[in-house]
This record gives sequence, structure tokens and C-alpha cells, in this order.
Amino acid sequence: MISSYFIHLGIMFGMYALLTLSLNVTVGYTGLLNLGHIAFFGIGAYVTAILSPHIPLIVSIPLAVIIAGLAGTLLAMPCAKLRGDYLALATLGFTFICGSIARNWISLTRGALGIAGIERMGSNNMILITLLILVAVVYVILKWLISTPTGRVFQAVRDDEVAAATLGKDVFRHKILCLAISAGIAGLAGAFYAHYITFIDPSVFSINELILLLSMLIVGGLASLEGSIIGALILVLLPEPLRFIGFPSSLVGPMRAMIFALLLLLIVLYKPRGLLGKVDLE
Amino acid sequence: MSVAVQLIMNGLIIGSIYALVATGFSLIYNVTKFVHFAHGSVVAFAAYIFYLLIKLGLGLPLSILLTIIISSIFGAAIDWAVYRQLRKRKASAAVLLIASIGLMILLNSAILAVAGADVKSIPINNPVFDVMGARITQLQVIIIAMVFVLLVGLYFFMKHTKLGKAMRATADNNAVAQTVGINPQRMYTYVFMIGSALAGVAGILVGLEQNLFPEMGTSMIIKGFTGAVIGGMSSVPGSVAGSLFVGLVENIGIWWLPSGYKDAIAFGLLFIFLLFRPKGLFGGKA
Amino acid sequence: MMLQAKNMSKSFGGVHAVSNCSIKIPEGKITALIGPNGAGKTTLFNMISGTLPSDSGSVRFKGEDITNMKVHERARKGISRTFQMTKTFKNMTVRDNLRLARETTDDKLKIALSQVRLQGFLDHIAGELSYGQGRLLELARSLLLPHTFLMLDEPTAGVNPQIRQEMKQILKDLRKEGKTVLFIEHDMDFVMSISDHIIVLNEGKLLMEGTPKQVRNNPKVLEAYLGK
Repeated sequence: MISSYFIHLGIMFGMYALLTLSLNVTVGYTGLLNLGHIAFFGIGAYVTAILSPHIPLIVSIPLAVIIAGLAGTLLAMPCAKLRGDYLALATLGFTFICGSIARNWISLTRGALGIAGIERMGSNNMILITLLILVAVVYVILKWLISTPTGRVFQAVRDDEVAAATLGKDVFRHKILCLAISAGIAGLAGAFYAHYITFIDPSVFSINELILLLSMLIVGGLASLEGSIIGALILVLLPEPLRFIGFPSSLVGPMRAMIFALLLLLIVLYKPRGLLGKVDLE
Repeated sequence: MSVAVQLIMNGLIIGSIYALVATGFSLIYNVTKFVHFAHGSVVAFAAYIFYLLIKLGLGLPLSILLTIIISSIFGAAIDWAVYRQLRKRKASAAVLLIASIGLMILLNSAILAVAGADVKSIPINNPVFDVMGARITQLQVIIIAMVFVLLVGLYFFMKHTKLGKAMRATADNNAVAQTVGINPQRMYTYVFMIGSALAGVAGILVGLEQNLFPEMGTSMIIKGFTGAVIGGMSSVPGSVAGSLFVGLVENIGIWWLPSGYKDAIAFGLLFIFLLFRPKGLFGGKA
Repeated sequence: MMLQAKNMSKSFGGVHAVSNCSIKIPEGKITALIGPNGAGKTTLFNMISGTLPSDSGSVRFKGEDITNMKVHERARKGISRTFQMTKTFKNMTVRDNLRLARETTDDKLKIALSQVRLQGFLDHIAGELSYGQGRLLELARSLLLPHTFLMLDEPTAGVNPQIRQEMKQILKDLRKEGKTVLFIEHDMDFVMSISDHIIVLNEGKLLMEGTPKQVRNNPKVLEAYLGK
């Protein structure tokens, strides 16, 4: 009983760690204020939930990653020219549109009813171990990526796009690449979510989830992969005591959201670089 | 024919409420230079306060007055408690935007926690007229008239009063405005008060016209923001026209799409404008 | 000809910053672009490197039309530049700033740094350098970028006099290597002492071009600087 509770927390941590790590690639390393990350998570979850009755998971999960990555590419192409506020709002708009489609394209997504009875990936222990291995793998790959010339260009784009271009770097292409990679990883997290919870509905696109991700990212710190993992861990654990205080269940949801929102406000006010952040949000 | 008239009427009515949200939002944006996303939540807050006051039996006129005053103070309080503290720390516009999204979630969740998830409505006596085959309620006539009066009033306030001019000066060039003795912090406070008072009126109107639900603020800011972007962000008349456009498109759009897509239509519009005409219909070339 | 810009124009909200201006940059020479404030030097510079789209006109680089090329494509053709307002990558180390221009060993990077007297700064964060050091880093970076044509926007502004002297040497060395240099500068002694060719702009138009001697002896130049 107790161990299954901790396994659940571990799985949640693994999923959010993947999401935060990948969000850091766009926001922290490339400086793109991407508020569409949760949409890629949702796309990954929906793709595999819809496909898995027809094809094996070993195919549907990679497809979820690829389609989420393609969605990232598609979003990046028109948005790459936008800066700061405008990019944030266009990507946020993308999240809302995805949520709206999930609610309304009933023949595909079953609308607000959601998709139930999604194939379980395996035992919880197996899911936990697989996820933690994936977190480690993604961490190592991203760590490597940011030290490559490509990763340096990401950071150069964040610091000064024009200067990066005058050094012969194709800024546009790197933005697209960055969003595609980041979206693909978010799609992977979404696929795990679908095959662990076995039920998804349009609330996976909820803006409350977005604020949770932003809090994890900023608490951990921009441009620090270690920070992202710590941020995910802290915020997964933080609202847990609420469970034991015995609030009515209708209050737990809004209380969680309020805690995340308050924490985010306090962090940007009093410790804007978070725990391990290396750059400011601009 | 009558369906078309009805849809156009519906579009203009809801569009005029969006216009109130959009003008408040763009006023704040132009003076403070950041995206106050929680503006929609101030609308929701006002709607719930209004609902509460009516339930307490204060009567319509007093409830309206109190709601507007409370939202105005509430807006200024938000600015003081969060944004001002961030500005002191030289936070970038991106940080302020993130903070405003945090505030939006905080307010939405607080409303959900206090008022519950159920949809509420405010009962009023509301006779129906027939105009060119479309059904129009008395309330809807009042909405259009009230929005019109408020926006014309705002326009003259900004153009011809000393305070309005000072605000425009701050919006135009903060540094220069300071050299002629305008205190920017005071302008921020005023602009939040005025913008939030408009949000208060919008909250009352939308509360009367539609139902109350905790996430209504998110929907309102999407519409208001889209209206402001289409109008070019920097002009009040532009925001009004843009908002009416949003109201029309989403109402006419549900001819072809399920009504659930209403929000998506607004965001689709926002998307198109951000990408192709980021300065809006009336702004100059991007 | 290294570079040929023809009929370049740019206006900002009705103000003609550059109007119908044509210049030629000779290969293997040091060319200075001078003119009073507001003459349109930086605007022309930006249009040549592509960071500012021109309203009209064309740019040919080594005989190839590059008018419609993007900034990074022009850079890959061999155009390297610095900015008046320094553009370093402020959150990155000096090493990474330089490696963005050329992937090479630390030893080579150290040589590049010592050339601009920034030795020992390899591991510093660029944003923590002083203004002058930032300019030098940018110079080192633009020198490292494989280039045949170097564009410097006020290279000596804000750097100390000793470095100014070394800058002269750097430019002369570049010329010896066969590189072409175009620079904007206000310091006339500096301009006259190393330029092979000088282009004078005034009010967005070409006023004259020629050798330092010709420029010095042209009354129109003096008039432009002093006002009529």
C-alpha cells in the first residue's frame, strides 16, 4: 500500500522530470518562451491512446513521440519569427486550440468523456524503472546536446539572435530543431502518462498543468538540467501533504493549483533564478 | 435571414463586452508595457462579487456600484502586490507575463475553491424584443448602450483630461514623461484602477448575460486579448473594432463548426493575426 | 572589387537614412567609411551585412548577387562584422563565444584572445566583462570567423589608447594576409594613418571617395563635418 503510493509518486516525478528537462531546452537554453509544452504532452498522450488498440505499444509510443515532435516543428515554423511576449501568447494559443480540438473532435477523441481503458504498459514497478532510466538517458543526451556546436547555437540564439546570424548560424533552423526535440520528449512523457493512468481526457491540455511545469522549471532554474530534475521532484512532493490533511476532494485540485501559482509568484519575486538557474528570463 | 441577423446581433453584443475587456487590457499594456494576463480573472472576480452582492440582497444599483469600486481597487492591489514588486527588481516583460499567468491561475483556483465548480446565474427580469426577426433582450440593449457610453467617455478622458494625457505620455515614452514630472508608478496605479473598473463592468454584464463559472476569466482574456491584438494593441478604437470582430467571427463561425469551438475560433484568429499582422488591422506595417 | 553596393536606400518612418547610395570596396585594401553623425554609415553597414533589410538597391559580393541572402548566408560567404553596440553572448563563456565563430582548440582560442589582449579570460562569462573587454571579445570573435571581408563598426570606441595602437597593427596584418577590411570610425588620425581608401557619406548620400590625401584636401568634406 505505502510502497505503491511511493511508486506512483516516482512515476509522476519521472514524467514531470521529462517535461521539465525538455521545456528547459526551449525556454532555458534557446530562450524561447514556449507556453505550448503541455500541448505536446497532450498530443503524445492522445496519439498513443488512439493508436494503441490497433498497433503494438512498441510502435504507437514512438509514433506519439514523432507526431508530437512534428507538431513542435509545425508550431515553430510560423512562430520562430515572433519574440518574447508574442511568442508566449501564440504558443499559449496553440495549447488552447489543442484542448478545444480534444474536446470537440468527438469522433476521434471522444470529447469530454475522454478515452478510457487504454492499454497498461506493464506493472507499476516496470513503468517506474523504465521511466527513471528514460529520465537518466534524456538527461545525458540533453547534457551532451548542449555541449555540442548545435547546443552552443541554441544558447547563442537565446543571448543574441542577430549576433548568432552574423556568425553564419541559421537561427530559424535551430529554433525549429530545438522545439522539435523538446516537443518529442514531451510527447514521450504524454505517452507514458496515457499508458500508466489508462485514461485521458481534454484536461491533459489544462493551463493548470502548464503553470505546474513553469513552476518546476523556474524553481529548478533556467539553463540547468540538474535544476529541472530537482524542480520536478520538489513540486511533485510539495502538494502531497494536502492529501493527508483531509480537505474535501473538491478542494484538493484548486488548492494544488494555488500552491503552484503562489510558489511561482514567490520564486519570480524573491529568487528569480530559482535554485540552480544560470540565466534570467527575458 | 433572421438566423443571420440573430447571429450578427449576438456577435455584436458579446463583442461589445469583449471590447470592455480589451480596452482595459490594452490600456494597461500600453502604459505598463507588459501583458497582464490576469486581467480576465479580474473580470471573473467582479462577476462573482456581483453575484454575491446580489445574493446578499443589496439590490441592483448598489451592487453594480460596489462591484465596480471593488474591482478597481482589486486591480490596483494586484499591481501593487505583485507587478510593482517585480518592476522594482527590474524584472523583464517575460517575467511579468509569467507572473500574470501565475496570478490568473491563483485567482481562478481561489474562485473555484470558494465558490465551487457549479455554474451560477443571476436571475433578473429581462423582457425580449423583436428586431428584424432577431430576439434581443432588454439587457442586451442596455449592454450595447452602456459599453458605447463608457468607451466614448474613456476616449474623451484619454484625449482631453490632464490625467488622460499624462497616461498617454507615459505610454508613449516613459523616460520622457518622467522628465516632465509625471510619476510613472502613479500612472500605473491609475491605469490599473481604470482598466479594472472596466473589467468590473464587463464582469457584471457577462454575469448577467451569461453564466458564471470559475474559468470564465481565462475565456474572457483570450477574447479581450485577441480583440486588442486585432485592433493593434495601441489604440482604444482599434481594440473596440477588433473585439466586435472577434464576437462576430465566433458567432458566425458556429454556423459551420460545433459551438464548442468558440474559444478555438478566437485563438485561431489570434494566431493568424500574431503571425501575419502582429500590429493588427489598424497598426502600421510590422 | 570585393563588394559592390548599388543604389542602396533605407528610410525610417519618412526619414531617409540612406538614399540611393552606391559604393565599391576594393579587394585587399583597408577602406574607411566616415561621415558626420547621422550620415547613414551604420545603416549602410547593416544593409551590407544583411541585419537590416534595404528598401531598394543591390549588393554584390565577389561578383555574386547577395541582395536576397539572409544574414547567416552572407556570413558563410565570408562576411564577418562587429557591432557598434557590442553583441556578445552574455550568458556564455568567452570560450563558447569564440567557438561559435570557429570550432577549434583552446590553444588557438588563446592565441586569438592574446591578439586582442584578452589572454586569461577564456573561462569568464562574457556578460561579466567590462565594456571595452566586450568589444575586444567581439573583435576576436569576428577575426576567428572564417572570412575574406571584415566589417568593423567603430572598433576603437571605448577601448584604451594602447589597444587602439594594436588595432592598427591587427588591421595591417589582415591586409598583409590579403583580407579586405571596411570600418566605420570617428577618430580621424586613426582613419588617415591606416586607410587605403576612404568613403565619405553625408546625409545618406555618397559625398566623395578617394585616398586619405584626396579626402583631406576636399573642401566639401570639411564643410560636411563643420556644417555650412
